Amino acid sequence: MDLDYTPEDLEFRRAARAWLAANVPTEPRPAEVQAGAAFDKAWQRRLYDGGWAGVNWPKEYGGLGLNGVRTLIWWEECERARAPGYERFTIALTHAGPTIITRGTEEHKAAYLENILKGETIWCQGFSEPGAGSDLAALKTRGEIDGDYLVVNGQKTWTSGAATAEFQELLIRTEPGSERHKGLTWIICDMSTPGITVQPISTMMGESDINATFYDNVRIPLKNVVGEVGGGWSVAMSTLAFERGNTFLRDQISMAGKVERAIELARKTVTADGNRAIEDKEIARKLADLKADAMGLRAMAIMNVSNIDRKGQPGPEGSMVKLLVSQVNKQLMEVVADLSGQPFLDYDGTRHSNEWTFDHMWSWVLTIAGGATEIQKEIIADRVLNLPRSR
Amino acid sequence: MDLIPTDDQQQIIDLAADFIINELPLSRLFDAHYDADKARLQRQSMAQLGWMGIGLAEDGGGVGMTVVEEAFILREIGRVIGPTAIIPAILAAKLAHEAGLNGLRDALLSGEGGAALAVAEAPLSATADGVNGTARIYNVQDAQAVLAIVGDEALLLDASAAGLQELPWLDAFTPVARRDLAGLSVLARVPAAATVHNGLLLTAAYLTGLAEGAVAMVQEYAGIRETFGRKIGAYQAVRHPIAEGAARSEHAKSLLYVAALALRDGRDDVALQLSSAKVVAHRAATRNADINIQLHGGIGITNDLPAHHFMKRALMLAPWFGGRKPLLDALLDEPLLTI
Ligand SMILES: Cc1cc2nc3c(=O)[nH]c(=O)nc-3n(C[C@H](O)[C@H](O)[C@H](O)COP(=O)(O)OP(=O)(O)OC[C@H]3O[C@@H](n4cnc5c(N)ncnc54)[C@H](O)[C@@H]3O)c2cc1C
Repeated sequence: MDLDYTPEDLEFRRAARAWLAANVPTEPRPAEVQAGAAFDKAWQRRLYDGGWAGVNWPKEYGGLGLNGVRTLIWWEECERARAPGYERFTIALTHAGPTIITRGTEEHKAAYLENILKGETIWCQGFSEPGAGSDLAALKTRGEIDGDYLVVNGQKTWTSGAATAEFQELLIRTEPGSERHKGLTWIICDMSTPGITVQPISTMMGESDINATFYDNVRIPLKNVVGEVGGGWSVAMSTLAFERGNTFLRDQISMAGKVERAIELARKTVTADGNRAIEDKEIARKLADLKADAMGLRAMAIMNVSNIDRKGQPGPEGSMVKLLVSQVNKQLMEVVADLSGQPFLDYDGTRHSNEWTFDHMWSWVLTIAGGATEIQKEIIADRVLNLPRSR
Repeated sequence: MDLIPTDDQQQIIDLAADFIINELPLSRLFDAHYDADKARLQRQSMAQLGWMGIGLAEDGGGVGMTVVEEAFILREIGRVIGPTAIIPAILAAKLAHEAGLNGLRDALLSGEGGAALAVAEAPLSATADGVNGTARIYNVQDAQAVLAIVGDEALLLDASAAGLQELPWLDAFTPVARRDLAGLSVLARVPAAATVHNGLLLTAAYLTGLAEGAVAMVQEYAGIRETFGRKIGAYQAVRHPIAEGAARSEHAKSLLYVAALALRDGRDDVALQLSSAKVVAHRAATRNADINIQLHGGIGITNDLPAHHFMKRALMLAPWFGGRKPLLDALLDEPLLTI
């Protein structure tokens, strides 16, 4: 038990820091959807060329094969350098790629993995439907086998990045009359296939990168099925486990820095009574409380990577992390809104006009997307605590 | 970088847990009252296991381990709302050793005597020959010394002639007195930082144990009690608070381990980690004590169950080595460790 880095860890940190200092883009990520995606592709390409793509992907698939501790260091350095996040590459890098690595065929691996690392292909996730979100197994979009093809009809929704994605993780019902977890298939859908219509959904943030996706006789080759036809639920569970395990690590690590920036803001902000916000004891103590929470989240991140380095994969404890990170974040945004006063409402519909205001609204995305808070509690109650089932 | 206890450390944890299941099961608190003789025997059997001197060097009669192992033990004791007297005893034994008070040190290590902790009611002041000001004095049973933190000094005061009169007290398992510290002669005085840090860690560890113990208790009940034909653990209004409680415990435990290592290794951010650890553990203990009472229903407020003791103990420990507000005020300005 120790908090020490090995000399190799420190060398890795130095190298990452130097590379990031020289390569992190100075211009902000554009708010517009197409330009944003182009920015993400350019950043991923730069990571690839610099030898930093796929930090926790296995080496044999072109990744760096970093262990948990090194992955943690990488994210700490990205946070320190204020490097761009995965953004539109979140799905490809944190769960589509890992799902293909663990469940795909050799042909899938050859066709899709390298293009992700090189920043050439954006992926989106077609799981949720208007009638199936938390209750994913209620999904209805259907696929019928026709020769070497699956012909897909129906609708997905909340599809982040569908307008710019090359590929999609698509989960559909392929056995007519099947119910719940049976008869589903996980298939790779090329988003340029005829019959797909993407309709943006307008959001409270103004920026809109989530969509409704419609499928009208979309013909997808059967060779694109990952796992078995009818065996999609088990593949989808792998995808969701990767999503929960991988996606929130950076949020968790960046929380301490975010709280510190909020404290800085409170030191600078003069409130309506003419005093600095930080001189208000109530605000100062709330911020200090959240700083303590953020220290705890970082400690939990170290605990989790220690476990992963021993056991391989993150367990259901990932739900505790997601629950706490998204709650701490929401509380932080409430304090920032409180201390900022009226200027908090200066906002032109893009995140760059007011990052804090955007983040405030985004705090609900963190408590809903990727399994809502209520569902994370269900997972903890079922799988960590073994309480009697509610469903 | 690794937060999982080593095999040797795990063995220490398991041994402590075993001892506690046998000697200090929660059931001992069912409708029980403070029993001075039992408390004395408990202290002595813990001393026999070496618990008063786990982190004290072997040449001082200790076990020669570190504050990390102390934290493991205190967490186990907290889970069953065990005696808090071990906290001042561990700290006073180290101070006595440092000051060359070998008789006092050995009495504490053997469990023959105890140490009490003074927590100020209003600011205390130290003079050349003593301390002025009124304090609550916790764990006065058989106390040979009173540990007091006054400004930037930690003092050991002579308790033998103190006439420490026990008060009626909310936490019935902790004998507490109240008096002006003036008149208690000084046995030793040293800079406070090390003792305060160590005290924060031990208190945070105990509080983390309380948080975990409370969740374990209500988790068990939720799997047994039935209403409307279902186990109450199947109702989300019951299972969700328990799930949150478990997450709070895990949060507090991870931070406790980091704080313990920061103290052991003398890291630059030790003050930030320790203050954070106590704030987070205290909140977890308080909230988890709440759900434990609430989700037991009526029986939760009775003496037939020890649920209320988690709440009372968390309240009692709140001001030890710094209350929530001073800790928050201090940690706001602590820099994040930059690597
Ligand atoms: C910004 C954003 C991006 C997204 N991106 C994608 C994407 O790219 N691809 C994709 O497939 N999906 C995506 N989602 C969908 C997301 O996974 C769902 O929104 C989420 O799972 C909740 O489903 P729902 O919206 O249908 O809400 P519902 O399932 O209808 O839930 C409504 C409310 O009821 C609660 N609830 C539901 N069931 C229970 C229960 N059993 N117990 C207690 N409470 C319950 C929920 O927690 C929620 O508060 C995204 C969502 C958002 C907000």
